[in-house]
Amino acid sequence: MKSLIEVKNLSKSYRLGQRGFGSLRDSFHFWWKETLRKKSLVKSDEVDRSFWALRNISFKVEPGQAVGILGANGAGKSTLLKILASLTDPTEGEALLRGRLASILEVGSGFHPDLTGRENIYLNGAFLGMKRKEVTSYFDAIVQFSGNEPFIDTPVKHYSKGMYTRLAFSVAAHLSADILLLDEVLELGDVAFQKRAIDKMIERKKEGKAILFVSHDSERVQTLCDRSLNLEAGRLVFDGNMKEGMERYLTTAESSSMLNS
Amino acid sequence: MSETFTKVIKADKGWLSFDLKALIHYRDLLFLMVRREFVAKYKQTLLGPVWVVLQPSLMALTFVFLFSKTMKVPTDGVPPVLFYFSGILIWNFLSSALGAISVSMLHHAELCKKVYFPRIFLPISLLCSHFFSLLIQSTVLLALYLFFYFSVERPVFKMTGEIVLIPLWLFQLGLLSLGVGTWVAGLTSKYRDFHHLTALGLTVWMYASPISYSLSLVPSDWQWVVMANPVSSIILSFRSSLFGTTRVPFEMQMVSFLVCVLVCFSGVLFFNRAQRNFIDTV
Repeated sequence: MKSLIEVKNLSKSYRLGQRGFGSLRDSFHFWWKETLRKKSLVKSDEVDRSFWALRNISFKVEPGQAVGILGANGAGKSTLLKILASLTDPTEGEALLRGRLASILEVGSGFHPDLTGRENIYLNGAFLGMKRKEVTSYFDAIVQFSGNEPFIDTPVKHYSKGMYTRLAFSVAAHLSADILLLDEVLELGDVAFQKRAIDKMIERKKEGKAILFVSHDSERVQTLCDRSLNLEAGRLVFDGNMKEGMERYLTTAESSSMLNS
Repeated sequence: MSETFTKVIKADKGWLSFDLKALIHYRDLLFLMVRREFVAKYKQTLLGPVWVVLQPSLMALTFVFLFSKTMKVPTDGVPPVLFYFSGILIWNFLSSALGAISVSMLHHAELCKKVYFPRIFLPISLLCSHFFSLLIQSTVLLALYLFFYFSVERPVFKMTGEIVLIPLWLFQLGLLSLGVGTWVAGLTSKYRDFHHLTALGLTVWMYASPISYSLSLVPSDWQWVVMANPVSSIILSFRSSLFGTTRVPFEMQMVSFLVCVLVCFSGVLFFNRAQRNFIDTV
């Protein structure tokens, strides 16, 4: 069977420093500096430097695999998910996705407070790439999973925070995708709901979906994922089983916190 | 496994890459976005969509008082209220749709950071919801039109078969609004300065358009200035189709139409280019 995700030498750089590009003035300013630099009137360290958020990442994910992405803040976890979700382009390299992808980087994308629960389910489902028919076929399951049945025709602005996130997560949990990208979204709701959310994802894994999961909750990552990808400063430093990956991650985290203190 | 969903994510894809597959796949979203736009605007308002008609009506009355009653500006034999209302309808569509489209990407930056969908739906959904408002406003125009046509013994204007051409002028209006709107949206996403320029530009543009005056009042040496503006031919053709006033010469109308097509096409491509790495810069 073919891999669902094939990532080859993926890199992403961001510009740092002088090149602001926030306004026309900045652009003119940059252009002026560049001109001066070319005539070597200004020292060269004033030109823009690139910062590599991701550098030469390669990996494959097979159907039925749940992969936890571990790394400190700024290691490139979210950047990786954003590239795979087509939210931003890589600078170099490529990624091949075989199958429908659903990225759940937040819950309730596109929710409008004045619309009812029912209307928001359709809207959010559509933003996540579901067709109207698909939402209709999962509708009852979504509502039931959220536990909001009596309030489904109430505008969501009257919902409590818990009700809101439960409904929002339920839509995402029922996406009929082959590849799921999750960015810290299983930590929502109360303990009972978190348990159901994790169980739901384990169920999706068993159905043969590929899951990429970013979370700082080590316990939850270990429950769901059997494989780990460790990122450090934009580089892939470990790709292997979860237990080893987590040990490695915790060791580096500890040593860096020792350095800081 | 659905091979149809295979997708390659690569670095630079060039100017012309447009994810048509996604447009088709997400078509249900467009409808829901238009609805969301409309609901967001009028839920919890007392008068709801009445606001849509109130604004151009008040503006038309102001024009009647100012230009017709006070300054006695002639209106090509068309009842002043109708003359101004028809011009305002076209202009208001352009300025409000353009204004909304130009900030659509920035306003939805948070959404764009979190979920993928064809970004071009942001301007297109706004265009659709503005057409819906135009439809509501047109009922007032229609009522006034029929009132003047039947109540005055000798109709002051002619109803001609050209009335069927109106959808064409509105289509042209849509192209122009989308085109200029997407250009400004693309530029604003990079350079915030353009936000200030939009308001200024729209004011100047309004006075350069024959909304409160007819072309016959402009000295013939200067008429080209008015006609170089693509909105002018839309307003003038809209009026001539409604009231049988002087037609815009065919060649001029064609040129203006082509300009609108070009602006729209290039604007959409530019927007598509600008949205690609938009979230890296906000």
